[in-house]
Amino acid sequence: MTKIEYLKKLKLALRQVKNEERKKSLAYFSEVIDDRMEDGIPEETAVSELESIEAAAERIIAEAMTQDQIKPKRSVWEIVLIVLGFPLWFPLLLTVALVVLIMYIVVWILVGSLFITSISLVIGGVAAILVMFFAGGLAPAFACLGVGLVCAGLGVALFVPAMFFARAYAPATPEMWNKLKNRKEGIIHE
Amino acid sequence: MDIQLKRGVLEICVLSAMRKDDAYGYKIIKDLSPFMEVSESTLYPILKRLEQSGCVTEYSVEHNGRLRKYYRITEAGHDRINEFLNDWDSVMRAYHFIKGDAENDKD
Repeated sequence: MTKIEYLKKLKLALRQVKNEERKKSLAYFSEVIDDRMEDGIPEETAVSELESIEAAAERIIAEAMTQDQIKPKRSVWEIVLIVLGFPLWFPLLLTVALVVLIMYIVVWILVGSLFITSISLVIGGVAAILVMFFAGGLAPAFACLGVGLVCAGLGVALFVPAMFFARAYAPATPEMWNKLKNRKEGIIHE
Repeated sequence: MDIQLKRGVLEICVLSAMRKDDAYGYKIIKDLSPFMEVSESTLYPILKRLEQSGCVTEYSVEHNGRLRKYYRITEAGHDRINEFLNDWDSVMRAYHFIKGDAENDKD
């Protein structure tokens, strides 16, 4: 068993323990395994030499009981309310999730439009420069060249902030995803 | 050994393990191992109890990119060890009395 697996299973076995105490005990076991590994013991051995998850959980729970660190059980009324409230809380939850998702997409669209603006300015600029050869006259030709250069220059310049925003925003994706996943699975990385 | 007795003795052993220097979980287990077998999961509740009774304080130190929790013995912790040693004298007197009695029975 790996360290992460051990901690995951221990966490599950400790679900009746209040969050704060559960986190503390998981941090302790995580530290002990890390220390064993640092001592040159391979991960699998370091984990397998620990007491079984059941035994460890039993000790932690027994101690937590004497210190009022056990989660109160949900009463029947709370369960009934949760079930009856489903038509209310579920759409609300869904709405919140969708709003977050849409905000995320909107930011990407903004970044995307920066890119599109930048690229179209460059294309437009180049086109304007090419058009100068068909302008029929020196003045219109220079006007085309000027407009073309300004557009292309703006386009190239705009590419820099577009890249900047995209680079800054891209790492936010795995970060947010990890946060969501960890909340669900609840493995601590301290 | 009687569970209550063992628990009491273990607590004092753990306290003694941090008398010289502040210690962390794995170090305590290693330091005690020549004298007493302590598993990681036994140590955790003991440390927790000692912390709650004010015999030790804890603080975290960054070590190799992770946090390691150190325990430091307090004044109350030292008192606890001395108390144990004093108590032990009377326990030993009782021990000799019990043993002497048992040997007399044999005669």
